[in-house]
Amino acid sequence: MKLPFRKSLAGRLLLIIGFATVLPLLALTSLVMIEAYRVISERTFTTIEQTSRQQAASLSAKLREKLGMMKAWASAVPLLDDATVAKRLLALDRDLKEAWVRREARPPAEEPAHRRALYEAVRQDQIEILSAPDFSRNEASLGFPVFEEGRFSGMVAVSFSLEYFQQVLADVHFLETGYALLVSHEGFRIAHPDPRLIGVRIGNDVSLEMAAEILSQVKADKEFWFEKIALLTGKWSRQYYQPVVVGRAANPWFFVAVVPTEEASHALNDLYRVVILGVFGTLLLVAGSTFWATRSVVRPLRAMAATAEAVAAGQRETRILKNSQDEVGVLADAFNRMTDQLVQSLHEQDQIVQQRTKSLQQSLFELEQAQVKIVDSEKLAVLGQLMATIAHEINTPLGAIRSSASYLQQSASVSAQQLPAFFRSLDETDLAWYHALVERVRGTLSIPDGATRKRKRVLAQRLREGATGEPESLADDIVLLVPPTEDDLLIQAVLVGKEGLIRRAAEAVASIQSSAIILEAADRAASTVLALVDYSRSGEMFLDQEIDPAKELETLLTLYYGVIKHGVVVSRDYEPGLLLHGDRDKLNQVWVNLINNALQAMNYHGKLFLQTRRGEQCFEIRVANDGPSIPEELRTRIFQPFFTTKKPGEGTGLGLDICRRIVEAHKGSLTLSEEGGLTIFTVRIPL
Amino acid sequence: MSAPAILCVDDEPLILLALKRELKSHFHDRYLYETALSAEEAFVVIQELQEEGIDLILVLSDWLMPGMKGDEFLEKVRVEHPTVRTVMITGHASPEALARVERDHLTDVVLIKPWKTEVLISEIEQLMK
Repeated sequence: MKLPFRKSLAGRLLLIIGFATVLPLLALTSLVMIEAYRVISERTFTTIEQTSRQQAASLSAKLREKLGMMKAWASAVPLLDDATVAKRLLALDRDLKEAWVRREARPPAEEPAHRRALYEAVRQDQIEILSAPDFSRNEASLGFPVFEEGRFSGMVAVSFSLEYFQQVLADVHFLETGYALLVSHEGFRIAHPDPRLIGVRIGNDVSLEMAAEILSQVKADKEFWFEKIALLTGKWSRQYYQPVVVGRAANPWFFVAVVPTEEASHALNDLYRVVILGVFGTLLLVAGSTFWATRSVVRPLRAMAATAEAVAAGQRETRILKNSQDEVGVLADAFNRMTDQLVQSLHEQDQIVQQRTKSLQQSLFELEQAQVKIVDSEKLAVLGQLMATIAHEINTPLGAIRSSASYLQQSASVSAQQLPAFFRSLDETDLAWYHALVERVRGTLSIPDGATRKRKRVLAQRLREGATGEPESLADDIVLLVPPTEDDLLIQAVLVGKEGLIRRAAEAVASIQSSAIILEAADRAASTVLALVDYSRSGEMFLDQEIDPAKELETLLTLYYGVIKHGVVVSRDYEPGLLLHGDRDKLNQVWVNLINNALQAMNYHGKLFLQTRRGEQCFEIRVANDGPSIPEELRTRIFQPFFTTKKPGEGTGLGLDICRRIVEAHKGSLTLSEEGGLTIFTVRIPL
Repeated sequence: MSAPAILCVDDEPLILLALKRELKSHFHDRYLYETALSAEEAFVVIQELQEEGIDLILVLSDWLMPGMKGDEFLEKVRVEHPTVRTVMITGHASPEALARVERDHLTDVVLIKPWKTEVLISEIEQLMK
């Protein structure tokens, strides 16, 4: 199952952790960057400024050290000779090239210009003075006024090499190409990384005003700097000036720190880069660890999901490969255990299902067996019913035959004894009458109705009154022999002694009737057998004949012309050009049956409706009538064999069953429906 | 005084004619012989006999008839006329129906079509004793 990234656990974890980590980190980083930029940019220059201040202070201290020595010895000058003072001073400081005392009254014959200028300055200002550097001797001098009895009497002076300063400054570097130099107040370079520039004046004098400005700024603990292109590097540089002050001298030297601005910002840029890298490194680290964490959680979960799906898909042996001991590992274990149990349970379920299926199959089998038995028994029931009906239909005429034959047998033996004497006793007239009586009735069979029964009783009563031996029997004979109009004639005949003639005539008629009964019953049995043979033969079909049902129906209708010309209206609805395949004779049997039933149902009075049409899947042939509708309870039974509503002798009850069998042999159906007062039989035969 | 009556019921006229002839040739005027083509007609005949004061002593009935069946008809006759003896004549009776006849003693005698005359006569004579 593939999840969209945003919906997956991994995606959400990554997003959550990412947002939770990266956003604050970015904000924090921005703040830190801003603050770092501010602080560091300040620090860089401030550090340089402080360094240069320390350097300047260190250089000042070096000079003040010398000044201190001179201060101490200056007070000793009036007491000691000048050479001793000078000797003692020189001994105190190894840097000193020379120490001397200059007396007001005794100017030396020959001395360097800078020393003479120093003396003039000290004498004029009467304070300690640092001389301008003498680059030819690479030295400078420091003079300290000496007073005797409150009057200026000379100065103590030391000359020291500039080498020390030059060495110290040569070691001073700022950033990459930054450097330091020492400038006298006249603007001469005392110390400079480039020895060629020592003794060369810088572009502008450090004027007294500027010096005063620098001093006041330094006293106020403020920086003094300006930016210009450095001579040595050719780069824009910030130049910090720090005074190297000795005593109360108004003409200090200046320690100048030259810091290329670009490099300062380079340094900042480097810092910036480091911070950026750090931030991105952290971000990567966070992202990586988040990814790893997510992966380490989500990957086993995905594997579990895949395994679960595999198990669900039926791969029951699939398990999760456990590769950690943490919660995920525990979960994997639990999952595997669960899957084990599930598979076990599924297995058990399978077995239960199999058992159930087996028992259900067994039940089904038993049910089918039972159904077969039921169907068989139903068949047997139908067969039994059929057999009962057939037995009845055949045994009934047989009963009549046997009964009649038995009668004939008996009466024949009686007749054989009685008839010769009887005939001998007859005269011509009686014999003619006898023959007339017998001939008139012969084999005519009639069943007595209510009127006949009444007539018989009246006759019997009249005969009893005439004291006849067997009045009931004789009345029966009279009824048998003559119509009611001749009853009186027969009674008269009995009264004149013709009872024997009447009885013999009746016996003769009875014999003839019995023979007729036998013939009739034999015909009845034969027709039943014939119907059965027809019925059993209804399976043989020739289904490949081309039939126009409308034409067949019309032909059949002509057979009924005699019965339908009075009182039956035939309504036709034939679809032209309709042809179906089947057994013409068998289907004609169906049409005849349906038309016959319809005509009988409406008692030959009403409307007969014939329709042929082509439906979507089958031909439909309808025979309908508007006679009395068939009661609901009979509708399903009318297709059963031997079901009939007709009077005995009018039908076997096999018609519709045979019709149904014929239609079903054509793979069609025969149905009954009621619609709009019509009873409709519909034959459907597939296209 | 009229002779007691025997009533034959069957939907087949041939049976009625033959049966009546057979009975009559044996018992002659000992009995009156009446016929009916259905149970419904039989009740009409019974009604007529009662009105004329004629004693009905025996009913022979077919089993299988349109309308009311023989067993039902005979049962009704026995309920309404307990003294009347009954004979059932059947072309075929299902074993269950015969068992029911036997169990409920619905009829005195069961005769199977086609019957033998001597059996018919002897059964009736037995019943008439």
